[in-house]
Amino acid sequence: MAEYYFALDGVALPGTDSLFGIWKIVKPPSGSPQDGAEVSFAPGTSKVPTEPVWRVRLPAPSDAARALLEAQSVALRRSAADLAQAERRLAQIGEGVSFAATAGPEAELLATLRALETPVPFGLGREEAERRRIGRQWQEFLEQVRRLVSHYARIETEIAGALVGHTAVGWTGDFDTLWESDITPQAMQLHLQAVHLALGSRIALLRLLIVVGTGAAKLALRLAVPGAQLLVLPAVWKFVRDVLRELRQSWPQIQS
Amino acid sequence: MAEVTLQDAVKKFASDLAEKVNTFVADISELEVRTYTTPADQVGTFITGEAGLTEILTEGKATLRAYTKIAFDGDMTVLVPTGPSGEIEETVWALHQMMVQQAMEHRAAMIQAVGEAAASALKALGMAGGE
Repeated sequence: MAEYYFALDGVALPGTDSLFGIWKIVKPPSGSPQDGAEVSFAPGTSKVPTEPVWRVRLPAPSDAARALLEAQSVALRRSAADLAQAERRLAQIGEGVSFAATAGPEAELLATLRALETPVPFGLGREEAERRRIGRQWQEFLEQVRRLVSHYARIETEIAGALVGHTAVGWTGDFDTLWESDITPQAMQLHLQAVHLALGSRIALLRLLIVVGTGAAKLALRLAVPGAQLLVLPAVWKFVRDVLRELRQSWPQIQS
Repeated sequence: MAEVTLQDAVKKFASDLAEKVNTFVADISELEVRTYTTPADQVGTFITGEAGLTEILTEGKATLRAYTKIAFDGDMTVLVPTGPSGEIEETVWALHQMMVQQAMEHRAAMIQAVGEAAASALKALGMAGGE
């Protein structure tokens, strides 16, 4: 078992196995969330959640544990900067800036926009099939974000194999926190940082959605095809996702 | 057809978000922060996915140690944890104060994000032809 671990348990974000390169996505099991699973309170195990749970597993309180959390906080800040860059690149497309590239996120988005303006028979061609696939992924993404923001955010911190803190944060920000009675100040700080990281990530996800929605609305103004506005949303979401992935490749490796 | 399904998905999301924003606006008038402690061997009981507070208090042997309610008209209710001789339990109190601080920061960030999301959802709802 890994000595450290950052996971978002109970959601399935399509097209990716991590959120912002920080949280490993642990998909909910097929069938019922509870699915007859036995409850175990042994270190490293938890009951199958019915709500998304942000899990942070760390080594014993130490400089290493603090450094891990700090590295992930830096990653979240980088993601925010990358998202701002994706937003700027999206705005340039909306403003009609021409791009020489024949591949990459800009080229793909422009090709999709051109395709939306060109009447084609339904159900034909690889491009149409790909567009539908992205459309389905976008729908799934919306559903998962809806789940994430409409449920409690639950954050649990496990240090050296023992749960030390669990915080449930309501939609409007009410906090319920359960602490282990004998928690040390160091472990306390680590859980606080974990809560901060998880909530920051949830807000960043909401922000990503805002960038997609706003970007799509601007691009739709360029299209003169009735109904095509709606189809821009999945393409813009894919653009933002691809730009974030592209920018993330330049990050230093922080998590195996 | 794919277009209809997409439209439905966007409408559902935008409507849900609009509903959430309504709740949010109604509920942000006060902020509640509760801090519980539990013996180390009982922490796992809290991790039950859908456990309510009643179950946590009973099954997890959790004890409410500190409570803060901040109403945004300026009223504040604070329950401070004390020991057997009436002294403030510094550790629990420090834990609680840190959570209150974090809750307030998170609330501010959520207000900003929800405001932007609401504007974006309205646009999406318009795109999807919703009411």
